Amino acid sequence: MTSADILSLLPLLVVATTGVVVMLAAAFYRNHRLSLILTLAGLLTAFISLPFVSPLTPRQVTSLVLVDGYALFYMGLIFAAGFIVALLTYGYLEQWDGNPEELYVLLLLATLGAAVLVGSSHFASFFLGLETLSVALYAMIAYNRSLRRGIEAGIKYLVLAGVTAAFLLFGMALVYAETGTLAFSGVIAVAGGGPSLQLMVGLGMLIVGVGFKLGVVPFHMWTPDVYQGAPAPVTGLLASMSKGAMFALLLRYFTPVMALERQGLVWVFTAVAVLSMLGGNILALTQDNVKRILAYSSIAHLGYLLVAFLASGPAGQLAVAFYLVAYFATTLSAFGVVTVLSTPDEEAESLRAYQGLYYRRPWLAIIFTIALLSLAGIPPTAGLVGKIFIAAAGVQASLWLLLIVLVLASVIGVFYYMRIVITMFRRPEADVVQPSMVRLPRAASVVLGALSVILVGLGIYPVPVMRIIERTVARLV
Amino acid sequence: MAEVPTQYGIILAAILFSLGVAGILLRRNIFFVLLFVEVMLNAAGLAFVVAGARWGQADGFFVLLFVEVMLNAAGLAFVVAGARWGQADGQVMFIFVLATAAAEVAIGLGLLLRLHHQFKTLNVDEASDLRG
Repeated sequence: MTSADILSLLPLLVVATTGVVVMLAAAFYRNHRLSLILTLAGLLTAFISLPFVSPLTPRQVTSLVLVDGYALFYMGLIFAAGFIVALLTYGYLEQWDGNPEELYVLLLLATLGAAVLVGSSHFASFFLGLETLSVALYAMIAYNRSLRRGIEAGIKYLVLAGVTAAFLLFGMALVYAETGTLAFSGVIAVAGGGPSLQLMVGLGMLIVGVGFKLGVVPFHMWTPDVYQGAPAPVTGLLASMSKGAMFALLLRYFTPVMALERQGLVWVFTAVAVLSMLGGNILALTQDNVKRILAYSSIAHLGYLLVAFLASGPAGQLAVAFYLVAYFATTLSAFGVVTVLSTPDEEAESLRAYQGLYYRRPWLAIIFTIALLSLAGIPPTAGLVGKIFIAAAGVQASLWLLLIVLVLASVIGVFYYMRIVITMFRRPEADVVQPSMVRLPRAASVVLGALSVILVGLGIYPVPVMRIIERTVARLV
Repeated sequence: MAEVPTQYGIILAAILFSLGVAGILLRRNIFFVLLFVEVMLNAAGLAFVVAGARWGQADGFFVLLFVEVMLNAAGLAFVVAGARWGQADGQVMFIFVLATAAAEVAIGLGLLLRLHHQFKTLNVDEASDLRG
């Protein structure tokens, strides 16, 4: 390890150190505001360090971590998501009578895990990053331990993630037994030699593990329950950071494997994408619970992303990067609205709680509407631009079947997103008990406003983000 | 000592892994579910050791490692020592597996206590408030 190596790991080191600092601070002096400020400062420092690390890249730090434009771009996205979730969490837990400080430690751990995941170039760092992310998430999901549903969701996610880890590990072991190397680049080089049964089974198990983590059909069963049971800000984190980091890794290392003319793999991913797009949207139609609707919607969105993944090439890379930016902002905005309307002991999740929201909190209703429009892909929002990029990548790669399904699924999606919007603008009936008017936390309001501006801004003028993506992610291709 | 073919090790690991999968699908008691998750993780760990032995010269530690997997005991010192022999990646991964499995179980047992406290049962099927 040279000093340049250590310097290029700076963003990861900052986040890890902040985690320890926040934990020690909570041990000696419990103060919610202090924990928040330390967390925000750490994430901000890590984010600011990214451009300074950039000139040193691409750099392979040991065989474990590859720091390059791609990794730095997704790290930036992950740190931003962590920053937003921390601010949302503060307002959410402010009135709560439990200890809120540890949630920030867990949040930093999850952020660290996700950042390691996008920078990993080796099975060991892949696995360790994933576990750091998952183990922190179990505890975050069940954070309100006096709540039955939180415990249930935590246990469901724990068993699922444990099984996922076992599948991934077993797949890695089989691939390793066949290739003799744990580095992704080595695996890709050797895998080109010709398929063997063991290698195919190993890759298959890896795909099952990745599929569970992404929550795509047919590995989606856990998504709605865990989304519903977890505290609202944690659900936002789960939907954005956890899935986004996994997808970035999938895109980076499975694309070369797919390029080895493994038609079988292409068909598997095509089937998963079609099932996710249709299944997610159709299942969402029957739901009356906003958190569950958003869960099914996230299944569909991962399906859309798989279309760009299958398109591969520079256009696919670009589409995925932009779509993930838009999806992060949209998802965090949607769960942000749910968060500010909820308290840890009573979440605003039934559709009834949103009836007439426009007449009680007009700005919140407008922010939620913008987020839902973006999810549905209606102009002028970032979601639409993202979908256009995916469609363009799909056209370039002539994935006609996937494109038809994408359009169909988007149309179905409009129905249930609009259902929430219409509910919010419908006058409340007199006999409906109004949910208690909670005071809106100031930090969360600012964040939500900013996210809405970003969503509309990207929908109208996406050029600045495109430039950044071209300079970092697309440079690799 | 006679050489143990790689295939045998992989097959043993596959059997263990299948036992784990079957156990999770069949048992409803959360305690057993956690136990079977452990079995699966150990099966994967075993497969790594076997794979490492194929590509390196870890055969001296091979048999010891089998015992370890089955006992799931703290024989990590052997694996660390095994790093001296050629390619130790498999053993290193095994340590990672053990460590993270321990972290998972630490949280898992904590959740299990809360489950028992809240639901007065360890049956995962009875914890089903979340429905759509």
